[in-house]
Amino acid sequence: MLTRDISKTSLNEHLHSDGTTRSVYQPLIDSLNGLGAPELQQRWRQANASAALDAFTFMLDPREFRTVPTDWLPRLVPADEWETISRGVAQRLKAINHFLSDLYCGDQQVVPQDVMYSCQYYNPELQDHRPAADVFVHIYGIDLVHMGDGRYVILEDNLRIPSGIAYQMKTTEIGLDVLPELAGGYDIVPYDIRSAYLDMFASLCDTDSPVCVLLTDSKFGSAFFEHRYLSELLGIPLVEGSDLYIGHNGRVWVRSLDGDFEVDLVYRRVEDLELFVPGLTQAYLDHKVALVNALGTGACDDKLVFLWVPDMIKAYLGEDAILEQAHSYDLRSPANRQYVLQNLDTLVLKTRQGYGGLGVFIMPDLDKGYRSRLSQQLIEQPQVFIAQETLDFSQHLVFDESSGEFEERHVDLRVFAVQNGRGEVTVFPGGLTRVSEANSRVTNNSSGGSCKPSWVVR
Amino acid sequence: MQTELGGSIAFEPVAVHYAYVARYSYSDIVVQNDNFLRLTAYADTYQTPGSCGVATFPQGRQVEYPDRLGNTVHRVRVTVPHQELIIAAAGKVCLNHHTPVVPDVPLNSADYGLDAQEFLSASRLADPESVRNAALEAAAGATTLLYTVDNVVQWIYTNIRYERGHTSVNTAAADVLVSRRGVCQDQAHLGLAMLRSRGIPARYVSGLLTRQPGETHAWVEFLHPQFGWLPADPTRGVVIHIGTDYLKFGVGRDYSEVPPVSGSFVSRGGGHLDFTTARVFFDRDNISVDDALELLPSGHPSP
Amino acid sequence: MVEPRSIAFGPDRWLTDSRVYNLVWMGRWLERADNTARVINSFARLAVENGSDMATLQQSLSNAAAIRGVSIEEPPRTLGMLIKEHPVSSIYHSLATARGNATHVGTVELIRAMSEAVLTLEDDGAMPQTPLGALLLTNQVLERLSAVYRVIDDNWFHQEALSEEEIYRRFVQQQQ
Repeated sequence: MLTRDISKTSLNEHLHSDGTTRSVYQPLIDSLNGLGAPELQQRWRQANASAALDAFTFMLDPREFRTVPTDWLPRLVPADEWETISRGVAQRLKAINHFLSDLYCGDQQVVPQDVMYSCQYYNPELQDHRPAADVFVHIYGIDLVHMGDGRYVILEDNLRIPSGIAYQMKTTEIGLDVLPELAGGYDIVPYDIRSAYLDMFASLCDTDSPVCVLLTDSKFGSAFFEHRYLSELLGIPLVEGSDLYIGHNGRVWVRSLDGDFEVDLVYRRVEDLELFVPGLTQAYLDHKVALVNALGTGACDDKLVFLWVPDMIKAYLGEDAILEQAHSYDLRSPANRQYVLQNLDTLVLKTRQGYGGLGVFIMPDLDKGYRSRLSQQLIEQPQVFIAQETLDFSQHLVFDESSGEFEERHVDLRVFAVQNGRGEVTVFPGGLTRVSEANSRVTNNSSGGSCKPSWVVR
Repeated sequence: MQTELGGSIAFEPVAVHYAYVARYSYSDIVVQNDNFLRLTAYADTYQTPGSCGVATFPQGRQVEYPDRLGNTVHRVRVTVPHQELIIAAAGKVCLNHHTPVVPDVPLNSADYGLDAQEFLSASRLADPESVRNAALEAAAGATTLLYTVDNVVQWIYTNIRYERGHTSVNTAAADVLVSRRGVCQDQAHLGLAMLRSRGIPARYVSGLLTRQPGETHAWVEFLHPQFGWLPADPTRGVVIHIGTDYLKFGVGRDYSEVPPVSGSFVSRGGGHLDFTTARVFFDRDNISVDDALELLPSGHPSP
Repeated sequence: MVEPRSIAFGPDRWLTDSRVYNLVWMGRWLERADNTARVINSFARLAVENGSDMATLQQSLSNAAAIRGVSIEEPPRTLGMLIKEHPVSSIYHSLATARGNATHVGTVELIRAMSEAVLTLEDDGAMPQTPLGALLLTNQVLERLSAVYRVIDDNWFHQEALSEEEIYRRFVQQQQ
């Protein structure tokens, strides 16, 4: 049943390029065949019901309760492929952290000044401010796509408030619970997010048992599920901006009916801190509170700054990048602008400051009218964009519960890593696989995509 | 003062000091105010900047950098809560009274190269396609560079009435052509679109009129294949020979790339420009941003 | 001020402002859902016992709703409105809003119990067409609500925790 509807244009995760099954997928395919379509439909409904019960949501509209569309069929990454990804992610995280430190507290020469200082997320007020243990990036999310044969290419970095780690855990949790058979024949590499986070929090504070809180935008925020899930997992209070204030001692306090208490660390899941907690930035600058992630990391979220990350790796670590990144065009250069305009129909346009799939335009997938409007915009405001090569990245089997058929969808892989105050990086095996809608290569959940569990297997 | 020197006339340079101030008011507390200021004298053959600076009240952290077109940009981020923001700039600049003698060249012979392409194509507020027919009419059959520039500048000077209140910072050249009125910025945009339409690379200039204090001014520059960028002012009908009347802050493909002040703020309320003025002094020995604050109607801001 | 380490009590003891806010509102919405379900349940039971038809049930529900300040424009649609359609006063809306509050309050167990209650009304095809149907559906809702209360009683307001009245009293005090 798995041989139907297999598109021949792109790589399929479960196949080699010659069409034979990748050995890592064989046990999974056997299990699926063993269960059969009617049973899978039944289990899918069970898993979906479980997601609904647990309010496993990603809200696009605060008025609408919406569970995350999930394909419960796991994506498999063999441990040896993962080894490379893991080293590559850790390397990149370290280089970016060095760069940020040099940018704010040194005299960085890697990224041209006009690029860096025109970046919306560069914060001049952080000049000469060293965060605790010199760690800027505590939690890192990186988007990869698989080009086949273990070749993974980086599409973007997420350094401000990367979300998805709870989605990584929950999809696997429900998936294994409802479809334990699919794990047959696999040794899934485990990870411990709770310990890694709590250790990281503690390593940033002077005290052994710091008081940490998770700052959420509100229960109407898109990723609120993650906020409350992590709050419960980590055993730290979930607070809204209005729960926090700056006390007379300059420290951050939580309003509580039991009596207010002081906070050592804020794991912030909001962007505009000052709008939520006036004075929090100053408390941070005065070293009265640790922030995870630190302020200023957004400078490397800029899609134009992305172009210089390989140079950062070279400059700060003296190494070549382990993972390659999508080839991108700096449109400040007239020659690049001309090339991009001439080849626009084959490229991806991204706005410098976009995130969550907003401001990503995959030109070959757009209609003619849309393309010409973008081309006009590119002529008028080239400084707003960067261009990137269009990658024909891998697809993965997904199961359509209503028809009982398997289909193919493009998938990416968002991998999460944490860095503690001792500079140690932990990359969590698996990550979150995000699945595009039919006939699309945009995989972000904010853009309506779904997700699937991802296992690193031995 | 003037002496004959070969074919061109040389004048003594004039050292002047400028001051600029703007005050923004907000309807609610602003917790973060991030602004890009292009208020520093530009360096070229027409003028040589001395020391220049900017400041805001409340104060913010600054970085200074040259953008890709060579403008000096100050980025100032204010993170102290406020409901009023004052931006001040001051500096010294030597106006060289540059009077080049420029040969005219046939339009179709000019090869401007790749770098000039962006000044020939549409920018947000100056699209050559949108004014093609009017540009033909304005050029009045001219086939050389200087004649074309001259005709276009004179056409705008004659046909577009200087009138406030009808246009905004988002008014494009095509709209100006329809309404036939606008301020210097609109006249400059129309000039840009028309020159581009005739195949002449043109860019927007933001600056001050040294002898007309009060506000910022806008004019254009066109590209001469041998002499580089040369000024032309549709508002005043002046081409190349601008004397010491102009003080240039920066250049862009149109206003949207080189506004004196641009930025964003974080607040639950809105904001508006409450007051702005600028002055150029011919008789001072020095200047500081404090002198710019003196231009405010209510004097110094309270500390 | 108590000393900071008081938060070591664990997730069910953090009485931060926003959590108390959600607790209070969760309680109010739950109570509203409970009330509406009981009103429908009683009238449906009477209708079943008296052998009255759907139209009669709709009319008496409409009157009952009016007493509670909920005006229904089309009396023949009262049952549907009170169960699901009314954007504020329906059982469904009240429960869904209470679940929203529960996601902030935690824990997973409570959220799950609340979701079970919401799910009884999720299926539009299950809307009752007879007084007996209304009786059975509201029975189901009330059972689910009892399960929610059990979670709250068993795990949550254990001995050392504050009573509901105390929480509400302090909340009101703080708002002033």
